[in-house]
This record gives sequence, C-alpha cells and structure tokens, in this order.
Amino acid sequence: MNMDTLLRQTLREWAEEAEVPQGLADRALRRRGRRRISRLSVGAGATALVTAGVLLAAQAVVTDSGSLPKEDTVSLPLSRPGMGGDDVRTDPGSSPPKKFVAAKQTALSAYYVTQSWGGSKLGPPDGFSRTWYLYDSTVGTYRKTPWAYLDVAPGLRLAAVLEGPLPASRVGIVDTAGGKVLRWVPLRPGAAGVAWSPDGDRLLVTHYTDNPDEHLEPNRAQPAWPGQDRLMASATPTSSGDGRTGYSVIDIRSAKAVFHRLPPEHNNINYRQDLGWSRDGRLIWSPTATEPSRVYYEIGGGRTEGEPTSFQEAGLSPNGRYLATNPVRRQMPNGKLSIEEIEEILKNEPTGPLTRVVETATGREVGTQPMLQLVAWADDAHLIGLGCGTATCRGKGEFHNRFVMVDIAGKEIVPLTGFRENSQEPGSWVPLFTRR
Amino acid sequence: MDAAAERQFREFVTARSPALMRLAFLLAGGDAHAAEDLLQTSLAKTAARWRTVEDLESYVRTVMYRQQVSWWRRGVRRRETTIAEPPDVAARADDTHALELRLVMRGALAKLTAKQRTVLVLRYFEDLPDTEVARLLGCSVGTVRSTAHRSLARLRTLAPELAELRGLEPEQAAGRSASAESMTLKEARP
Repeated sequence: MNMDTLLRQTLREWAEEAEVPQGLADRALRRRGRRRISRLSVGAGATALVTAGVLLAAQAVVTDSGSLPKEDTVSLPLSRPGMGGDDVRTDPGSSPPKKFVAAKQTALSAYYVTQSWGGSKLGPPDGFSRTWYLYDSTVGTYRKTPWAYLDVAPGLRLAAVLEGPLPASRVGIVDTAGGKVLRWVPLRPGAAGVAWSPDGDRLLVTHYTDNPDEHLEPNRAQPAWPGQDRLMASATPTSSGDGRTGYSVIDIRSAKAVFHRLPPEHNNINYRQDLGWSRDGRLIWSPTATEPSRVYYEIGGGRTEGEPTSFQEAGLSPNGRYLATNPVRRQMPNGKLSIEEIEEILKNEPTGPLTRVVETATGREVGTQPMLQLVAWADDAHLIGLGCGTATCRGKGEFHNRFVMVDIAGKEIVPLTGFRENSQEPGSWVPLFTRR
Repeated sequence: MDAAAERQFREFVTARSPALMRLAFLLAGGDAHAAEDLLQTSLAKTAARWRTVEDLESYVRTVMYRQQVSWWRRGVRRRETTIAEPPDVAARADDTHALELRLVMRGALAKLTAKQRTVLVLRYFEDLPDTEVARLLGCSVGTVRSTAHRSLARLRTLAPELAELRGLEPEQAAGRSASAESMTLKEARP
C-alpha cells in the first residue's frame, strides 16, 4: 500500500463515522436570526441600556450555540446534543473492544482494566486500581486515559474524571472528543466515586476517609461483573468511622458543589459504597448487600421510598415499565428433605444461566433470558447481558463470557464484544454503559 | 425567508446533511463537535443568502472550506493540538496491520493545521484538481501544491509508522518542483 491509497482509504472510512446531529436545519435557521441580532446590536451602539442588554444576550447566545470551545467555561459543551443513534454497533472479535460498541440507545462508553498489588499468593491483594479507556470519536477507538475513576455523561460528549491516587479533591470535566479537560471543580477531599445525573446537568461524587480500593477482603479483590464494585464493592471497613463520609452534588452550570454527610450503610460490609441516581434523577440511592439492593435518599439527605430495585444492574427499563431481575428458585426447607427429594427438585430447576424481566406494576414475568447478568437496558425491549452460551463456555466456566444484546423474550441474541478469557482475573476488562 | 423557502431549506438539509457532515467531520479532523459547529455555521450563512445562491451544495461546501481555514487563521486552534497522545495502536510500530495504519493516519491527520487538512481533504476525499482547490480556497495553485507537500511531510513526521509506505518520500519530494510533486501524486491515483 502506498501513502496515496492509505490516505484515501483513511478519509473514506473515517468520514463514515460522522453522525448527522438532529435538528440541524432548525439550529441553522435560529443561528441565522442570532447573527442578525448581533449585527443589529453593534450597529445601534452600546450607549442605551436596552442595547447593552441585547449585546449581552447576543454574546450569551453565541456561546450557547456552541461556536468554539473555551478553557474557562463549561456552558459550551452542555449546549451540545448527545451523539444519539439507535443502531447496533458490534466488535465481536475484540476483547476489549477496539471499535465503538453500542446497542440501540446505550453505548459502551468506556471500560477499565484492573491491576492489583501486594498481598500473599492465597490471600487478597492489598489493593487494586483501574486503568480507564474512554471512547474518543476523533480516533474512532477507545483511548487509554490517565484517570483513576470516571463516568461518562448521557450523550457521550463529556466525562467526569478523578485523578489518582484516590481519593481526589477535585473533579474534572473532560471532552470525550480529544480528551481535553474543560474545567476542574474543587471538592472537599475524599472523592473516589462519581456519577452523572440522567439529565447530564449534575454530578454525584461519593467521598471516603481513604482509598476504598485498598480495603479488600478475601475473594473480592476483583470486580467480577460491571458495576459490582459500584454496587457491592470490595472491602470492609477496618474500624468505626472509616469508609464513606458523604457525597457532593455538583451543578455543572454553576460548578458549585454541596456536600452532604452520609455514613456507610450498616448492612453493607463493603468499603466502597458509591451512590447512584434514580432513573428520573430526583433521588439518589445507596447500595446494600441485601434485599432491597438499594435504599433511597432525597438529594438533600433523608431516607425516602424509591423505585423498585433488584440485584441485576440493568434495573428498570427506560420507560419504567419493566424490571430486570433474578430467576425464581425454589426454596428448600433446610434439613427436611432427603437427598433424593433435593435431587428431584434440582432436576426440575432450569439449568444454565438465567435472568428474567418482570412487569413493574404487576410483578408478572414477561420473559427470561439465558444470561449471567443483565447489565443495562438497550431500549425498552432489549437489554445488554453478560452471556455465556453452553457450547462456547463448556469447560471454561462462567467467567469466560461476553457482552451481548438480548431481547426481553431471550430469543434474539447479538454478540457485542469478544469473550473475556476470565473476568475474575486481574487484567480483565469491565465496561461502562451509557445512554447515547 | 418565507414559509416556502424555509421548507425548501429544510428539505435540502435533510437530503444533503449526511454527505455534508462527512465532509465537515474530515475538515474538523474527526472532532464531531467542531464538525457540527462548522456545518451549522455554514448552513446558517447559506440560509441567509438563500435567494441569491444558485448551486446550494457547492455554496455550503465552499463556505465550509473557507470557514475552517478562516478559524485557523484567526488563531482558533480548536482541539487538534490537544489530541496529544496517539492511540495505543500507534505505539505498536511493528504491527503493520492496515487497520492500525489507518488509525495512525487518523491521529496524524487530526494534528495537522486546518489549512493543511483542508487541502488534503479536497485533494484526496473530494478528488478535486489543484486548480479547483485553489479557486475554492482563494489562493494560488502554487500555494495549494506547496501546502499539500508540507502536509504529507508533516504526516510522516507525526507518524513514523507511515514511513514504511511506498509513495512520495519527503526528502525525495523536497528536491522536486511543486508541479512535479503534484504530478507524482496524480499519477499514483487509481
């Protein structure tokens, strides 16, 4: 291949990744109007208060319309629409993925690889850290980042990042295209977890007394599935007063952070207890280790009732009609059954991995899926699951798995990524799924 | 713009925005945000002159080329200077897989100046002759050719992996006249 051919091929292939944003004509027509206002204002002079007001408005509009990035403002990227799209983009031959992966309205926005250190051969390591790879639309692949923790905003345009070593004392707002930090927001020390609100306007930062990834208990050193370290974490408090101290809610537009005290949940032995947003962004939840898997709080503090929860990370469908949950397994009365009776019960139990979806209002089962986990909803009729087909996983165990898109009925399965060799081993990768 | 003209404008944008967005995306070096800004600005300018423009698509494209170079001239460096690190694949210089080379090429293209990239896009994506590129950008043919030469040399500097490719060597080209370079490139085209 010569330079000429490579250049042509690259440009052709690259151009195909361009996505047409919604409402282009509307925005162009509005912007044409603003250009007129701006010219009119300058022409009229800035002596009158009214004219000055128009000038200010015109300038504000230019910034809001997203003309050019500025280092010292975050208002610009917020005005940008999300990447959008509802197609299915797969990279089934790669693990971790190299090409952009998405299932309808949800994309694999980033992933991390874990590294552990210290500890004995048989015991847990002393701690672990994550190396994050973030999808960068300018190069069309996932790029290594220097951040210790991150979350991607709905729409995939921005990411919130924390610097290592954790915990951090500021959160950065990063442009996912190119990876530039647009702004740093100073925080009370101890920040080690971050989550974007569903509307992309706020951040929820969880604070700890020290690095929550350095308090590991046996066999919990590695997150075995996406979100495990967010939900169930990996460490136990070493003494009273250690662990989670509270959370900050940050308004992105004003860059103001408000801290609220919230100690660890007593019924959760895990050290990392990152908080999350409810589906509508009106409440926040704290993870437990029992049913219900989440307890809800008002954003300003104070326990309250929230949406139904389950141990399946996917939780409620985007429209709230369905809940991803675990299969119903028959209870066995302890010590009251013979071996033969137990074997008879087990014989009638479904074999292999199984998840199910129920209707939230009635609890009626609407479908089961041959999945190990349901990690996110792709849309109201499809989920992203952790799959381990009987044929492909035979002899390799449940930790040899891949991410797939599956419909509620469990019939249509589309592989999204390649297989992870062993998702429990250090060096395995864990995806982050975000609304497009 | 009356209601009928506005409807025509919307139909034009709906029909042509995929192709225009592809061009904007390349001119912006793969920066989706900047591409959107570029196309939006160009469409707004086109809408303002709706009644007087004859060939709409050609007009929008010309506005995009010039707008991109103009932003660059005004010192608006955008993000091409911030795509500092090449993708991981670029580090594996021994891996000459075509896909990886294209990724390397993308990273290098993204780091060119807007003017350099615009000339390459016009030549190798839009497939325009140098005379047409010069007309569109409002410069001389000689400027187009020297810019193209410097851009190719810069690509090789930015991405040493590309040195293995056959084609015009920067050192070799340096000794040639601008027109000879252009001829060589044209001859290499399929």
